[in-house]
Amino acid sequence: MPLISPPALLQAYLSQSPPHRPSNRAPTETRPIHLNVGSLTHCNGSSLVKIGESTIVCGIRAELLPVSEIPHYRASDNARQGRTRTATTIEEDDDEDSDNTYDPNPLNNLLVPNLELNTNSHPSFPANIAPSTTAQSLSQRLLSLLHSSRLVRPSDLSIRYSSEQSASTALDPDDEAYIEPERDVLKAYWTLYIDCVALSYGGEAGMFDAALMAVVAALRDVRLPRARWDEDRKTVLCDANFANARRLRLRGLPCPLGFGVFVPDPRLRVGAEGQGRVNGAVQGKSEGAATVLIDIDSFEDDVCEEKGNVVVDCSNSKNKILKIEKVGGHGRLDAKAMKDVIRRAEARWTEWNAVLETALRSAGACASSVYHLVHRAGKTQQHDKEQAQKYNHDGSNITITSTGAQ
Amino acid sequence: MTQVSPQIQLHNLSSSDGSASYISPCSLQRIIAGVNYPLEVSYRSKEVPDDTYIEVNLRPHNAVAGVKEHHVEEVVRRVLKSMIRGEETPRTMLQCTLQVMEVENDESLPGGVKGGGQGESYLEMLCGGLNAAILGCLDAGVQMRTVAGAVLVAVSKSRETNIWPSLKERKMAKSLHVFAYGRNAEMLLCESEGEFIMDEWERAAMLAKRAVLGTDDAGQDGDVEMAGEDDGRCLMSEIRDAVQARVVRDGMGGDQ
Repeated sequence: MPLISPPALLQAYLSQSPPHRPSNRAPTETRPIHLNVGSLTHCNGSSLVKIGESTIVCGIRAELLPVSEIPHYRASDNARQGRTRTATTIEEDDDEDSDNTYDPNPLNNLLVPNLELNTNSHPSFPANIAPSTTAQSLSQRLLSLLHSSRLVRPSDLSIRYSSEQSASTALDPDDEAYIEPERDVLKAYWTLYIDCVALSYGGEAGMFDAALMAVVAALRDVRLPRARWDEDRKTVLCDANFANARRLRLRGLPCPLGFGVFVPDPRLRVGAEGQGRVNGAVQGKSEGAATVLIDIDSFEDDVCEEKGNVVVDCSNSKNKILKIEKVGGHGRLDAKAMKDVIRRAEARWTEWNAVLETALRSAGACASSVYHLVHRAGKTQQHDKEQAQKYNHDGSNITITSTGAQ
Repeated sequence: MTQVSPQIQLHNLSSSDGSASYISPCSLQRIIAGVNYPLEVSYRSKEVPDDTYIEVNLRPHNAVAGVKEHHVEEVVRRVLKSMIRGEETPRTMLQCTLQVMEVENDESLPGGVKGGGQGESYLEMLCGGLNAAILGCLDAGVQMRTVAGAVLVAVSKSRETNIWPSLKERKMAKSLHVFAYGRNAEMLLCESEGEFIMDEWERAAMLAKRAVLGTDDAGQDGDVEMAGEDDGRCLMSEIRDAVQARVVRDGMGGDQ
């Protein structure tokens, strides 16, 4: 929207009573979330999220990473992990790091999110250039959030081998070729390549919201094939049977919400000079006061200097905050206003949870009808049944489509 | 609380307009900032008709900048943009180069190598980089609306808030926060990650404000009270001392 003075337009809208925004929303009104899950065929999990003009497609592909290919891999970590694993049953242990060991994050390189801002997604993005600062920032923020929220459990991504399976083949201890049997050994990891492509760009704050929702929905949709270590072939074999594939057990459900603080240009304020100097606080309804806008679109994103995102998680009826980011502007948003934003994000969480569950249910209904096709495909291709090293999604002719909520 | 304060030195590069070195307390992270201002904008398309174009370059200690560093650059750039009176020098450029000189050894990584991988938190680098950039701008004589300082706060599992956490405390923390406060107690930046509740965030913010400004409430005229309490010295008074030392050194006819 080429405008001579965008702030003046936004101020004109907001100074009406009741105040509303150019998108005809109230200042604290959010936009509906459109979600479609599992629409990409060649991915282990995928999603499409559309919030206003921000549209993101996210596909997750899993690849195997044998520990032999990890530089500086330490078997001592492995032994320790094996011990804690047997000490606490892996099911339902929410705090795998509850032992206060000083632990490098085992997920460090297992989640690889990337976000691409296409030329087609916004007129201002030129073609054939290196990823813009915005795209890199968004990728980094997604990665940081995936790590700091500990959303994915490392145990879900590890492929272990316990020698009890092959106890009958154990050699005689007196034999010189005898190797001390390792009881429960980590052999490989799944690496998740999380690729987001923007179909339409709607401002940085809005894009982060859409991208994070897309990533979370795609992670919920991920189905990893059953993989096991084959000691004879010294490689990981995957089960082509779709019915044996398992989902990730995510910790919680993050929900993002973008916000911006609109401060009218002092040149537009007539006779209200100096009013905006009160320390840090967002003022009342007087002219020239800062207004907090929730879920900002690209137009508001350009006008607001002070903006950010919060991420909350209200699952298991525990309200947690996972991230607060706010940069720029002149610090007009104080703690009280931030509390208000968090409250709105918690309301957004309820909405997001409902949308996600509906979409996953309908995708699941579609997938189960497709399952028979996959199953048959697996049977006809006997030679493909156990595929080594690199897992390609079998049954590539089959399209899993679904229509999500709303 | 131990007496901790960052070590600041201004103008230690001879050929840039302004420079500063900043060593953050407890984490031994050393960052040098070089600021050149005003410069001609390198690409005409980047020129802003009524504002100063700001460019921030950040180099980690052991590599060239990656995605993480680019994100930190962007955040620092946006904070500087809100602090600097760019309209005084339209169509020019402010170039701020940050070099991480030293970071703490991370014994938990294989071979005790130094941290800084892409997956690790960037908040420590952001905090140090922002402080160094602001000091560099002060030294270069950039016209600014306000002076700000950033601090890193960790909230541990037992919900204790630690200011300037060490590497081990950072890794054990449940949430990490960076706050930047201007001298009128306005919050210019807040980045928090981990898992926390509003109450912890508010306590961390309060602690950060005290560490930057010395007192909870800034004076109405914007003057910072120099309260010599047992919390050690505040960041603002450290900055003031560093600027004072630089002015005295110049007055003595020092070697620049």
